[in-house]
Amino acid sequence: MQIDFESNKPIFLQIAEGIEDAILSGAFAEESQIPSITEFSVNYKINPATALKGINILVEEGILYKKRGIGMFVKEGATRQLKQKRKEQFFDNYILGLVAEAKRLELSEEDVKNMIERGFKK
Amino acid sequence: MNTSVSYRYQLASQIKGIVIYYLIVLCVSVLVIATSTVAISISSADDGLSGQIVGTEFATIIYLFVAACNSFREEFGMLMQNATSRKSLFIGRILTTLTISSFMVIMDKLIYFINRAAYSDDKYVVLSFFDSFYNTNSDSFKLQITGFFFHLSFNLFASGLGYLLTNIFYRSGKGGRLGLCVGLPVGIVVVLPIVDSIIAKGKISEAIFRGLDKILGVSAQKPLYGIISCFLIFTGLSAISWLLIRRANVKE
Amino acid sequence: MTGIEIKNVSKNYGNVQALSNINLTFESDKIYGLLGRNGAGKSTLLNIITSRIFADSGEVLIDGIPAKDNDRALKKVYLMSEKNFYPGRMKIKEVFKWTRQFYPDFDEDYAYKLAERFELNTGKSVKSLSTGYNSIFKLIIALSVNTPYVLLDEPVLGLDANHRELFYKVLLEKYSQSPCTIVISTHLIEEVSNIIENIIIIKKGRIIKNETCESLLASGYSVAGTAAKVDAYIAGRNVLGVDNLGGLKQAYLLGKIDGELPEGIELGKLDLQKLFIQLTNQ
Repeated sequence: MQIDFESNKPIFLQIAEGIEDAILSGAFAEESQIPSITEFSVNYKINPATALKGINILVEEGILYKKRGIGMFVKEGATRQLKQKRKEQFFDNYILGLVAEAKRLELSEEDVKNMIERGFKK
Repeated sequence: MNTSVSYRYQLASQIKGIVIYYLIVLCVSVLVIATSTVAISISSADDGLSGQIVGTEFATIIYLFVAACNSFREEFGMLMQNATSRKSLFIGRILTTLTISSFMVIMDKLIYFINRAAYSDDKYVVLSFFDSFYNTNSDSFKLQITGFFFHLSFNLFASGLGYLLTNIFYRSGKGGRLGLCVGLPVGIVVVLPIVDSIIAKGKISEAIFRGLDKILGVSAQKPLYGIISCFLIFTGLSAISWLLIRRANVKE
Repeated sequence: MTGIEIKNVSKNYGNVQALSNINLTFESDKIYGLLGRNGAGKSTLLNIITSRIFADSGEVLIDGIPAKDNDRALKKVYLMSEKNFYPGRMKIKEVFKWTRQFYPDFDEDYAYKLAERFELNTGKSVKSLSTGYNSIFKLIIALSVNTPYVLLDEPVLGLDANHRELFYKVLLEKYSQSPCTIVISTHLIEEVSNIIENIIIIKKGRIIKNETCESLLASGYSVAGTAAKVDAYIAGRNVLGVDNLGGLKQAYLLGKIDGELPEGIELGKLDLQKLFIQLTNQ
């Protein structure tokens, strides 16, 4: 999980998304414990409040939950929940940008479709 | 309250110096005893060889003065670094002064008795500083006690004076410091005697000596005056020191 | 715990006004960045808080107790500064011993562990330490002293890159495990910008900014593109400053972005260091 300090995206958001990615990839398994606030804070050299903010977003969404005295855990069903959320965001996050760039490069709709097919065959 | 730590720290800072001082005193005493013993054994009974052994009390007074001159800057820095108020520093300093002054009086008394034992024959007379001041021989118990308190208050006076001087030095700018280090000694040792002999025809030093005589009760043979005067002067000097400390800023 | 309250504090040295009417509160359990250029008044402020020097007017309260020359209040604070007040001939382990006497919550074991991590020989005397290690031993004390308020005045002066990294690591470890109020006074903004929660900017003895890092960074944005396009965009807007690189330009603006950015203009975030430089220039 990398944090880009130069990016426009606030750090706490990057943390939240980084954890989401890790859950989706299986690195953080469901019902397993994720690194503590201290670990995030020390590892990325950020204020613990920032790490906490990112984690709290996921707690509110029901992706993570807290076990008192132990730490943060991935909720059961989080993977499914995240996939659903990402599916809904897929169009905005990827398609719009892809089409805009294609237009800038003067690629036709047909060109783009062909490329997508090629991508799936890989 | 940090007063207790302030006291313990300042006391600890003094210990090493005192130990070295007494080691030197011990060595010198042993040396003097040895040479005089040899001298006595070499000489014959009516050789007229005699002498006075004056106690270490005067050396202690000088030591306390010099040590006090060195007891502010470093301690102030350390205590300020460690969240201690100036008030605690000052109280700790007073307690330290009382402790080491008392301790050194006791040590000097011990040395006095050792000397008395070592020079038990009539060739040498052992006198304490108090004795030489008031022309006594510390024969009675009452005189011993009086001498004890006299040395104590003189010690306090010396310590208080040194501490005040170093505080004046700390608070002064460049001009003040120069004035203190050069001007004061030159003024007392050179200028004053010249002015005294040429202009005042000796009246100034006369007045000074008479004044000192009065408050210390020398001619009047009243050591109690001396004890009280020294103690009061010590209190006054300490009060002025406090006035300087309470607004002192920490410097580099 | 009401924090360190600084009320109407002013201080001048002769004709120079070092601090003018400073009003500020350092709350519990936060990491503050006290930023300012050289000579802005940061050290003066920290020295006044800890009663090392006296303010000409105003007062400082630590958890409601007037701090001026008061043992009870001062014991809640540890100030680590570049100036060394520990006796030169004292060995580090002696310093630790005495620190424990003055600050009863000082964790000596932890201090020795840190000394190992920083490769500090505690048998050495204070005066025999290099500049870097002079800072390090004081940092170790600051991290082990367990006072509710820890003030660090230019903590990483003289530290090599490895030690700086280690310091920030240990600082965050300590803060995560046992939170307290930490004030980092520095002009090395880039290094601390992600660690601090609140920012206070001092300029020529006055506070010009006192807010959370987040809100300060959100108070503006930057745009980059060709010089012509950028100039067109920034006309009439509140510009903090510009960087020129040949035909390219980057401009820093205060305020919110209204509407879409025109073609050819790239949006960037406000960099704390750039913001600081723009705010404290001239």
